[in-house]
Amino acid sequence: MKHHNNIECLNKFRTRSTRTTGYQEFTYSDQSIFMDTNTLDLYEGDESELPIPASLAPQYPICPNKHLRALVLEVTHACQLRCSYCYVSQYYDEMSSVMDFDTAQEAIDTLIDPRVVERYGFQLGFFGGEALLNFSLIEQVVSYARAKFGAKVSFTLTTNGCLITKRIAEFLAAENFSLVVSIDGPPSLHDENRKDVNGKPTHAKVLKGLKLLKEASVKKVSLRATYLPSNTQLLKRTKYLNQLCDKGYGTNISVEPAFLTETSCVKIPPENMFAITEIEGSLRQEYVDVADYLVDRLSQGKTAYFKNIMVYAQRLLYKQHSPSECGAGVGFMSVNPDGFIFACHREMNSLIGKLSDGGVSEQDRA
Amino acid sequence: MKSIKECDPVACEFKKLWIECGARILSKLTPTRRMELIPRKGTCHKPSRKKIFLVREAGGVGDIISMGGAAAQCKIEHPDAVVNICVPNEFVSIGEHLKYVDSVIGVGPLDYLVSHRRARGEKPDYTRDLYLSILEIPENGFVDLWCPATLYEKTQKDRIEYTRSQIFAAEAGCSVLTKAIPEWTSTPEERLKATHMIAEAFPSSSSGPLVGFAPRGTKPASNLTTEFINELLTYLFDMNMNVAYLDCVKPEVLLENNSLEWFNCDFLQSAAIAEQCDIIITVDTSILHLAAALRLPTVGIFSLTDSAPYEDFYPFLEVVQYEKELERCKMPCNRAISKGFGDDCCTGCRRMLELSVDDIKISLQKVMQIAGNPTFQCERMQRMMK
Repeated sequence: MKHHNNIECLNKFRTRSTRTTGYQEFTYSDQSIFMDTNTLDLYEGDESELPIPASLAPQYPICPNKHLRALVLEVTHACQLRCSYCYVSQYYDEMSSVMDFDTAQEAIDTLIDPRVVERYGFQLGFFGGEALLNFSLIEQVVSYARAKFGAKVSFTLTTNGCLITKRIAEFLAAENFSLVVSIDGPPSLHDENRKDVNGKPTHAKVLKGLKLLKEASVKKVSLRATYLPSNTQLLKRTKYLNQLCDKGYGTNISVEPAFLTETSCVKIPPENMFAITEIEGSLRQEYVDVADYLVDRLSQGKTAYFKNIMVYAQRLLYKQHSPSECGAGVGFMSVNPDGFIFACHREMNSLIGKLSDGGVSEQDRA
Repeated sequence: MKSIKECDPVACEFKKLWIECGARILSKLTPTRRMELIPRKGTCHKPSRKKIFLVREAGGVGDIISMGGAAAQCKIEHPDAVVNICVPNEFVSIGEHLKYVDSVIGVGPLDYLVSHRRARGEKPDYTRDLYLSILEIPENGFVDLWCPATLYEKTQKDRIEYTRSQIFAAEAGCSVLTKAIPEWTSTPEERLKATHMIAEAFPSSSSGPLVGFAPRGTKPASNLTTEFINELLTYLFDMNMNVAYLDCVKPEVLLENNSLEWFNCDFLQSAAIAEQCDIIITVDTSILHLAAALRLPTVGIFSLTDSAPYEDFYPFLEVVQYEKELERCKMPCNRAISKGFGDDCCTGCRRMLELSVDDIKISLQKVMQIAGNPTFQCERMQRMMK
């Protein structure tokens, strides 16, 4: 069955007839061409090999992963940093595992439906550990995905920013990556929690990486700050990251508490838990100050960078309701280096299948 | 089913906090400033891009460039839509230069379309067949189909400014053709052939300016009468001008020696000849658009079509608008003769019977003056004007 992206071949048609629901058949000599009446996509070949037409897709799912729009590959569990709030710190002993190309290829071939990619586009993410420790695999996977899906696939990468070189930055720019770079704020706040394996600060390395990304013209760089109940300082972090964005080192920021996820996903250490009373008390005032700072920026004609808040401002303004914040296990999945499939890239208790067992287990996902 | 609050009260509190902050930001800005400062972003669940498929009858260049206008209109109404157009194969290269068109689909060639319909004893109208077949697609808001007639109805119904669409067409036509010209005429064979033919027809180096004359197009009402063609040719010959007669049919007039008969040619060949002309006299047909793209001084003779959209965008175009009623043609023409009607034409075509050479003399003089301007570097015309 050969698929046509355009209908150039229509110039061959001599007669036409209406047939199978969802398709129009055109015939030319002995050849039949079928047009999906919803998408105008054309197919030539045997009728029995036609995919289920788009008009019937809602009633008859084309594959178990028809809603999957993003897949995250955890290319390694290893990391050169030892951040104090890292949720995988309890797995440091297992952090040596590294994904190989066969596993990545199997994940792409098994979980991604090319028709979904063609119709909606697809986001392929790279996560760790520190994903850039396995940069050679990222290059291989990008090359494979581009060959298979073309421009319909886009890439994301989450990194601590310490390993970015000129070559890596140019590669990320060329493939139009969207990046999330972890930086907690000014050096005093960042280096408090984000240290390398030898206990040395990392802020300077991250700034160097951001500079390389800017020089290579990487278009989307989101700066991500994480804070703990013991030291919030939201306004200070927000101001610093906004200034970085003003200088062209980032295109958005998010400042989030550590472990803000479904409780079932993560085992939260008690000392890192936010108490409801804290949120309603001092933290509320800090957020109000941040909101006022963002208003000041807007009034000065500057962009207000703070994803979590500005997203809600947009939704309120344009009445863009969002029923769910997290598409884990449905629109979004992750595969770890050993081929286990998780609903969330933070793994934990969200195992929903294994590649060697044929993919997603509907029983686990349910 | 658990509510979010029951699942994770901490996450819920944070979300409430962020929403409050978002509301606080909005409350501190005036409604106008809100829209200005906080741009709309896509929703979480983006709808698929709407597809718009423009289909026109397999017409000529004018049809293609007017689709450029229609495409522009589509993009105004549906900024995120994918706009595809369907054109005869030989004009795909023109369509690809249309600014607002995402992809061009070739059908044809025209010869095939014409012969196919004729074999069925119908008027050649392949694209309408295609359109009718696609009309059976269920309406789901995902696909929009326009053909010229429905485009017009739709624009009227939805109160879209059709005039604006026409202006877009003229603008698109000029820029599109300019871009497409090298592709059309740069084939060495065509250009060499044209040069040889002109050199052969006008051997004298002191011969007068070369006028490209296109008296006929695809629209019968635009076509000049044989009487007028004879009158105009006589006038041009009297002025010691050479004429390249660009027509799709054999001339019905007796051409003098200082003329180049160039009929039954395809568009690329006509383009190669027109490229070497000093001025152009044409009815509303592809040569008019071609001349504009080549920036040639042109006399454009319009009957049914409103010339207004073209005047602002086509450089060096002098318009002769025939404003009288079109009359039933009583002159013998090839079409009538081929159908056995003899001198009594009964094919129903209506022509500009009262058009005379006097009506276009002023425009012709203006065009000759433009061509005689030194900036045009047209030695033949400058010599004549002196």
